[in-house]
Amino acid sequence: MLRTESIQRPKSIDDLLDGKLIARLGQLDLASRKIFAGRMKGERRSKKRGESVEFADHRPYVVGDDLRFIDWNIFGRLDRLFLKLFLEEEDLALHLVLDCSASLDCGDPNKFLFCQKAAAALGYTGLVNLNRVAVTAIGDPPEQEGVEAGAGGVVGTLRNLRGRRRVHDLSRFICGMTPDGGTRFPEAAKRIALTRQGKGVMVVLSDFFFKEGYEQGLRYLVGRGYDLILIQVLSPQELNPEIGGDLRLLDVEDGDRAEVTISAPLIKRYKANLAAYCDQLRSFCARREITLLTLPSDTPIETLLLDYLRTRGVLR
Amino acid sequence: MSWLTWPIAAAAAAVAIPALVILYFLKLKRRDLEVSTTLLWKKAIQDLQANAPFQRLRRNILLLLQLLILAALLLAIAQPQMLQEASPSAQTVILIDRSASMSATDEFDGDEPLSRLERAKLDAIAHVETMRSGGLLEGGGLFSTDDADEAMVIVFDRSAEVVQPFTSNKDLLRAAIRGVEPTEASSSITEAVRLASAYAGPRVIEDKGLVPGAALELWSDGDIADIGDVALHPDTEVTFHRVGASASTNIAITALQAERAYDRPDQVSVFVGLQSTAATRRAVDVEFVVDGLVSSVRTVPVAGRDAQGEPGVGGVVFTLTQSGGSLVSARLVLDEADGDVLEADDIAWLAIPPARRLAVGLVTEGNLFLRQALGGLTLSRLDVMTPAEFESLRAGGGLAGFDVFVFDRWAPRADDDGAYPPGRFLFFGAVPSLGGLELVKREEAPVAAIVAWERDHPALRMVNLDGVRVGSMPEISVGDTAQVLARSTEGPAIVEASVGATRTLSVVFEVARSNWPYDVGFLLFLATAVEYLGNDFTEIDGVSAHPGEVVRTRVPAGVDRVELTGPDDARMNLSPDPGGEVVFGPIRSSGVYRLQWRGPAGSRDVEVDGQVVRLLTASMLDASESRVGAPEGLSLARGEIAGQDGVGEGGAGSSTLRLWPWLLLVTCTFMLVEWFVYNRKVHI
Repeated sequence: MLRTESIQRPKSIDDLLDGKLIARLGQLDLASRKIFAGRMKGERRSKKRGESVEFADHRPYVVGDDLRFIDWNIFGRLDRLFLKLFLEEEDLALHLVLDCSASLDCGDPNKFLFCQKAAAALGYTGLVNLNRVAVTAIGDPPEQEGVEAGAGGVVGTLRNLRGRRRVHDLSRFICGMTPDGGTRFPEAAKRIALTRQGKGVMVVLSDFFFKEGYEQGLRYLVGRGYDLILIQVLSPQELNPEIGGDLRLLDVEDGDRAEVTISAPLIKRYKANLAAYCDQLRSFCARREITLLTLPSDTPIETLLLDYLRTRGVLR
Repeated sequence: MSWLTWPIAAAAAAVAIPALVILYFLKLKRRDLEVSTTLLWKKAIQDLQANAPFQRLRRNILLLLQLLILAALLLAIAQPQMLQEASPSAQTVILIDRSASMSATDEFDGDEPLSRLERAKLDAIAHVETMRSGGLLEGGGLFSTDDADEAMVIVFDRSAEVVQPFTSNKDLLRAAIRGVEPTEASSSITEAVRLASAYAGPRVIEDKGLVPGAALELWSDGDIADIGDVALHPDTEVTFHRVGASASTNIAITALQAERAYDRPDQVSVFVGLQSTAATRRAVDVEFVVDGLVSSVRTVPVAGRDAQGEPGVGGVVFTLTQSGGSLVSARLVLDEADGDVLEADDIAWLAIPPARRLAVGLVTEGNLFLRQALGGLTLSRLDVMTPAEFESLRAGGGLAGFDVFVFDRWAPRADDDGAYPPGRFLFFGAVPSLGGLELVKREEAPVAAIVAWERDHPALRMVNLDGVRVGSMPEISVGDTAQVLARSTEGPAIVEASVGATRTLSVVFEVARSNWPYDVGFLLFLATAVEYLGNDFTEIDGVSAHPGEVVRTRVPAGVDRVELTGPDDARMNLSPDPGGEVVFGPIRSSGVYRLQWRGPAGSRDVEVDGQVVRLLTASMLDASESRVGAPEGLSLARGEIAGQDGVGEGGAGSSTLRLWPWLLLVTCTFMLVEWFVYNRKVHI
């Protein structure tokens, strides 16, 4: 909950993922509950029948079909021409949406660092499995001289990464992000939904503490047919605040103030509100087939990837 | 409701309440803390406030509690106290009668019988409780107030004593009252009132004029002999708290007198006088004890009190044959059925001196009347000498061999240092230069007649001076210390003067130039005067001392230390003055007082184991005290005042309720509540 006083920002993929994890990530692949049409040949089954080695079905031969795919064994038995259909293997689009608002720069361990690590790990997995990976950083940083303000709530976008060679581009982009300012999640979501080409898996990493609300933004995203996976990251201090006394709480995003005298009933009420907020989000997601993972920021990345995400079928 | 230290409370309130409110209006210095979002916190605060009852009150409940604490504390500082009755005067003199009649046990505490004095003490303490207390900061502090009541305690019987000067300290007053012990003396309030007046009597205050003194709160049974003589300011408040019952029964010995037969000195008649306040005639057993052995018991009828309430009297005479000295006592044998409320007067003692005859010296140039008259008295010795022979006897120290000297128309002169020779002297036709007596002129005067004399004086008790005519009455001046016993138309005729060890009776005129020698009264006077002078004052006619009196007795010359043993076996060493007089007292209780010394014995002393013993007795023998009936009111000189039973108005059952301890308790309670509320607020 509390803003992290000083943090060592990651500089490269090595700062985000250690060697062991990278080795294990190589064995994983992304999965999706939905099968999407890819744009390029890939390693993923497609709805389309294609040229992979995996048999899918037969259909009667019609004039003009490629003679190479005629099943001659059936022709020998039945004396009729059937065509063998094989499953098409295509690539999968993975879109990582990283919340870069100041509220993520809180907690111990830092929530944003956790998000960076998770994004790097998922992006790496996507790249090594020849999926198309895109990363969008959302946020509303304050206008500073020499720094371009985010357009439509999007701070930066990295598109169409594919192949292991682009891992460094990915890590550079992720490490280059600094959490600051607030968010304009509905605008950002709308922009992502409008500019996104094709369908695929979209992973949104955020704490989802949006004062303007998360519902509209998520509706934009889910409306485009993405297989939407939300990872809500909360710090241990947010889950169980250990503060006391007469305090003036300052919102790190908009500078809003709340004067509180910490007491047991207040803490109890805060926890109840937090639980209700998360339940509301979970309920919203369940109704729209959105996968939601709520995690404390001290969760090991291995646990996230190998346990939670595999259990929920995001990775395999 | 009164406030003892309201100025302090007001000053504190003027500072503390605004300070508290101002402090509350000051913005609380809060610690800034950056959080990821205030979304949930604001909602939590709103929820708490929305769900909490009495939100406006809760917001300021700590302020309200702190104001309540402060208010209770300030009220406590003001020291309020509730008076259930009208408060007494600022200064009160508590007068407690401790005389013999106050020992009568006709009061009750529940079923327990209680003496009047005990009841008076309880009521007086209850009265002290009704006094307004002093403030906490009492004692001359900057904010001290003078609202506290003060009281002093004076106890009195025959004399008065201040046992506690003015104070507002109730503990001191209570202790002083509890310490009052009964005596067997008679009552006299004059001295007590004089003492009270000396401390807080009427006084003149500028702009106010004469103000009455402190109020007098008198606890007594009202049996005070001189109550009518008390002079008080008309506005001085007097409250008579009456103790005792008006119809109590008491049977008492009121007289014990012994007399030796004139012709048979070994025959002693002892008269025991009795008094009864019972309603009916009673037969009382009187036990007569001689030297510790019961000699006789007689049943004596004693009349009941008459229609006017005057007690009935009775008497009995015991006789014994005793030439030596003896100690006799009379005791009433009473049982509970007699309802006697006072024990102290049921017994009396009397030390009967040995039968003795006086040695008298007549100093005269020749006087037929005196020589003949003295010769007719029963004396052990009568020496007739001239003034010159007396002077030589005086120079030789031979005066101690005579009990009384009778001087005829001559008086010895004082020593060069102004001291008169010690002894008992009877002068006829001369006055000694003693006690302010002085012969002014010895001129011829018209025939003088005796017009008034002290009929109760022992020397004149049986003498009638009505027909005495004096041919030539010298004129004398009488000082302050001399007492005129008989007064003629031309001035003092018989005077008594005593200085130190010298006691004199002076008949100013020459008896030979009057018709007195031809009267039988002259002989009687001579006999009683010689007897009076020759015997010690306290022992004359076997009269003993009374409790409350100062006892004087003369021991032979040469005795320098006397040991006194009282009735309670308490021993005390006394030193006689140069004239041989031993003084002690005032004695508190009746009984036998035993004087012992080594050395020469007087004519009335006995020798036991090489020590000389003289017995003196003190008995109550007070008909007034033994009446014990507590009158309904007191007859002061300025009018009648009614008695109040118990503490009276503003007394019994009423008390001063100090509220500040309760307010402190309330303060503590509020502080606890405030502590609880605060912790509920900040507890995590």
